[in-house]
Amino acid sequence: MSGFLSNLLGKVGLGGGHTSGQTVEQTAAPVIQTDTQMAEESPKKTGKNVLIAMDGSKHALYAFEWYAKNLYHPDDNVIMAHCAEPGVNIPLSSLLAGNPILIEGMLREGDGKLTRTFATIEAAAEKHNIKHVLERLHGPPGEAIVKAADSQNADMIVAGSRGFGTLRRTIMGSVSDYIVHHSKVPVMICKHDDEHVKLK
Amino acid sequence: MESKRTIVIAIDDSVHSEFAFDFYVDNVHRHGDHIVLVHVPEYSNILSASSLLTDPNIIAEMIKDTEERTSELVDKYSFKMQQKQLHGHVRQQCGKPGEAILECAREEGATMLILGTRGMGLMRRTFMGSVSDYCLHHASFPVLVCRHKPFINDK
Repeated sequence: MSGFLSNLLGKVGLGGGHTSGQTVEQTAAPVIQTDTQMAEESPKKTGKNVLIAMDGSKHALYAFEWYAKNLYHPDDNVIMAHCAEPGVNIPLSSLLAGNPILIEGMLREGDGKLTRTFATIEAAAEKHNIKHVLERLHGPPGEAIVKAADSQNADMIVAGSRGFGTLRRTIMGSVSDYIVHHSKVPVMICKHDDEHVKLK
Repeated sequence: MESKRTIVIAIDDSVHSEFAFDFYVDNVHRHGDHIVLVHVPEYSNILSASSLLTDPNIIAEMIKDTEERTSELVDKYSFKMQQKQLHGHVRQQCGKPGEAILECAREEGATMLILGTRGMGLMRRTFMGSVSDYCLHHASFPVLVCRHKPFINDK
């Protein structure tokens, strides 16, 4: 095999792995400013508008924790966006059966769940002392979140990789998938190595 | 004490990468971050061309051209890093972009992966595939997909 061909194959990865590194070492030593060379200052941090997709699921809470630990800046404007879908948990058969007492009971149970979800959200924010605003959104969650991020001038969206869906046939949740494909701003999807074990 | 973070940022010569890098610097960067810029040079077009061309000199030219552009890219980002007084290094990785980026990120023990995106509409994404899609689905660490309104082309 001619030299250049094996070289080419090597580069494309067929001749075995190949990486090359070039180190750009920059220590934190102070830079001497001269007249001709003005080094730029270290990047200044200012707060950002962050919209956190928060359905109250373990994945969303994990995403919030991760944000608190890795992205949070004290000047951030944090918007916890919760998309409530009342009535979605009522089975069609009950609706058709038309028993108003049963339906009312289910609605109240749904409300109870919502109250608990909001309490969970508040607790998570308080734990990290992060002041925030809770936005209640309506409609299909993905759409609602992307629209809210737009109208609230969010600089980024933070979301879990999936929500309450326990069905694990897909690699990523449909809402997170929607957000990534339709957002107009950067999206942080908080994936982690084992989605079941870690979040027990 | 905060543990040191390894931030892996995928770069190419597009404006999308620049935006992703700048977004990281402005909104994500913390002092002490170790940054790994990973570049996957495109040799696939050369490989497909080599089946048609028989002149080794032309192929050598194409390789040299890709290497030059890679070298320019590395210089460009090295300069940006120095300018912002950032700590890290640049890596080249070969293979399919999505797989190569993830392999690099895994090896480096990434705290998070940062990607630009071509912001392609549904049709084009279906036909052309998407590096950010692949990485998102297969990563086991958080991924920041730097969508940007002016770049988005929803057709």
